[in-house]
Amino acid sequence: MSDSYTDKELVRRIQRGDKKSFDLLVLKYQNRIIKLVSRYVRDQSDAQDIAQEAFLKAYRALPNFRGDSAFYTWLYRIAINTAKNYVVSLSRRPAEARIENSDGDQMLIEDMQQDVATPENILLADEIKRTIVDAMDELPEDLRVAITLREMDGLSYEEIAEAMDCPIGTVRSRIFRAREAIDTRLKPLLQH
Amino acid sequence: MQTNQETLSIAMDDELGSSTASVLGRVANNNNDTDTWARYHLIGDVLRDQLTELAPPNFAAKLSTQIAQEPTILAPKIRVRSWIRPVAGLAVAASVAAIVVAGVQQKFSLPDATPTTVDTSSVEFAAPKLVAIEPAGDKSELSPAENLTPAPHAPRRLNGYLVKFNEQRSSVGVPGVNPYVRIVGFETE
Amino acid sequence: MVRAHELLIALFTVLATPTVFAQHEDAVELMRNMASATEKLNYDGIFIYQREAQIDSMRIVHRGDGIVERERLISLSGPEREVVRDGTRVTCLFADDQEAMVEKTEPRNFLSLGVNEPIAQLKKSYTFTVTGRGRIAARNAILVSIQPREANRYAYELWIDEEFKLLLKSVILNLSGELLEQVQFVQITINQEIPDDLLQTEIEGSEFTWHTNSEDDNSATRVVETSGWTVNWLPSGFYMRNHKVQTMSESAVPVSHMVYSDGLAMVSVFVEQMVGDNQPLQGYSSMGAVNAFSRVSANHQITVVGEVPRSTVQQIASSVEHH
Repeated sequence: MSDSYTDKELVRRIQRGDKKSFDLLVLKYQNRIIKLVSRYVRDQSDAQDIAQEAFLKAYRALPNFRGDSAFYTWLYRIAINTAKNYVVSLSRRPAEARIENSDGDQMLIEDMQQDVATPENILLADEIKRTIVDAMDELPEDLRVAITLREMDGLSYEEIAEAMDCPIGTVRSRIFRAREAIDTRLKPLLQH
Repeated sequence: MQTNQETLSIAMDDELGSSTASVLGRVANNNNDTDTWARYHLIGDVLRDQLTELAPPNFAAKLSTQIAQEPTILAPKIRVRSWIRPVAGLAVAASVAAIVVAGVQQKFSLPDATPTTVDTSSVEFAAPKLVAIEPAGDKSELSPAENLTPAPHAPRRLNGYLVKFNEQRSSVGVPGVNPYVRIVGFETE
Repeated sequence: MVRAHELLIALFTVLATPTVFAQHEDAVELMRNMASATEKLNYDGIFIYQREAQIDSMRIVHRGDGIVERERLISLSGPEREVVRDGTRVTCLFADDQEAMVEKTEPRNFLSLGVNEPIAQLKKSYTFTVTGRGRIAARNAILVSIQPREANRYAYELWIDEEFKLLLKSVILNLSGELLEQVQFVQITINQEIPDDLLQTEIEGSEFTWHTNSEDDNSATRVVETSGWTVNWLPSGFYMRNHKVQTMSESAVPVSHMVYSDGLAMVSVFVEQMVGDNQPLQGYSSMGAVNAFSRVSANHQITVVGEVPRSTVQQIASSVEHH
């Protein structure tokens, strides 16, 4: 994954004392990290704890982050290590049956049989997903294509302009209008 | 002040160029902007089907509270730019914050560097030279200059001490002006 | 404009002054007037600050005749930055870094001597003498020379505006009479009206990262008895002003910070436990009039930083002991 200019800039700000910029990084990557560490534990609240710890570790280790790798790559590694350590500490419990998942990492049977906690979050997650998918379906095609190329294929604006045979300014506008349209339906779900 | 949402959209895609820095600064410090940032990223996450396990609503907020308790990071890199208060005589000299404003880089000289004597005043006649005063105490304790070994490169820690030293300059009722010593930009290269 | 023969007369008068006592009093009186002038007058000037090979220039605007004292310092060389004070509220702006800092402070002038010390106390360590006259920034100035009584600290010279008693130039000299640092006005107007817009920054800081200065000082008010370290030797006239425990940004290890002063010069003594594989500081460094010396003792790093000669910081550092 190529390094994001935004990430670089945010890291720079954090390294000079701006804690709020770290919030932006968390918001950007929280879902990805939770999904990542969920492969290692069954319990959703454990996944959340691991993810919190991973971000915290990342914050503390930031003074030593030199930008040799992309920030997300670095964060990704921290998250995996945190998850693995967590599983190892679990595995020190006596006499539990163990199962290996496809990564070769061990999981406790107990974990696998546990229900995922927080049903409310599941409901909300479903609703969010449904809302966004519905909103996407209702988008005019040019907006939908633009945002799909951007978010799912990771193309740059320039690449999208080439793919859609339009000026970059149009790409900017389409992506924004797509987000705006989806956000109109999303925002009420998340505001309290 | 709220950021234009289209600008935010472009910035998060790394397509805003050199304005990104200031936009991010605004976004981080504005609650509405931060919420918008969160939602726009959420849209991307859903489209990439990240949503099997969703971060709970208060995930970031919880982390933020914890981060607030952590020591603030100041990650020095290669160059140090600081507002060093002119110490000494300048206490007497005043014009301090100025000195602070001077933003002199921290350079530490080796012991054998001779101070430059630059007289830019238009004194019509020379002020009398300092007459050596015999110290009251025993002179033998004073080590001759040759015995003092220079430190290797002034490390960061020394930097930190200097800053703490300068911060005391005004708060302790010692004559002098406001210190305004801050380590501001640790320059990344 | 002062004519040569008038100067000679002045010189003669100064040299022929019957009593040293009278001169001493003049010098002290001048310094008192200077402190008052700095706070109460309006002025706008440009000065240079020189330390070793580096010279920076700045402008200061000060209004003392308003309801609240206000002033502003502007860097004219190097990176663009400003410090603005409005009463007790101070704002520092760094344009290149897009950062700003706000803090509350005691009302001290950017340009002031600010001697809080009773003169009697200062006289123990220094003599104050009017030693001449000069011309700075096209104004007549009186030269006050401040000499240490012992050769373990620095000497100072102040040029004070004859008419309004503002500080126009100051230097700090080492034991050989060589210049270490100086500040000097090259141009200044005094006692004029200062319009509001001159006191407001032109740096557009609304998109900056803003900090307040509260974060650093959670330990500021703690006086610590626990350190178990004593400083056994200091030049005469120095006594402790403050003692606090701080943390440096690079480490979580607390540092004991003891502050000493004789009323003019200040010295800090830091004692920090050595942790892990950190390279200890050894030896000394200097920058302008500030000298630092470090040594290691009982697994602790002892560092002395002060506005005193190298031999003095070393002597102080060597005397720091644990019991």
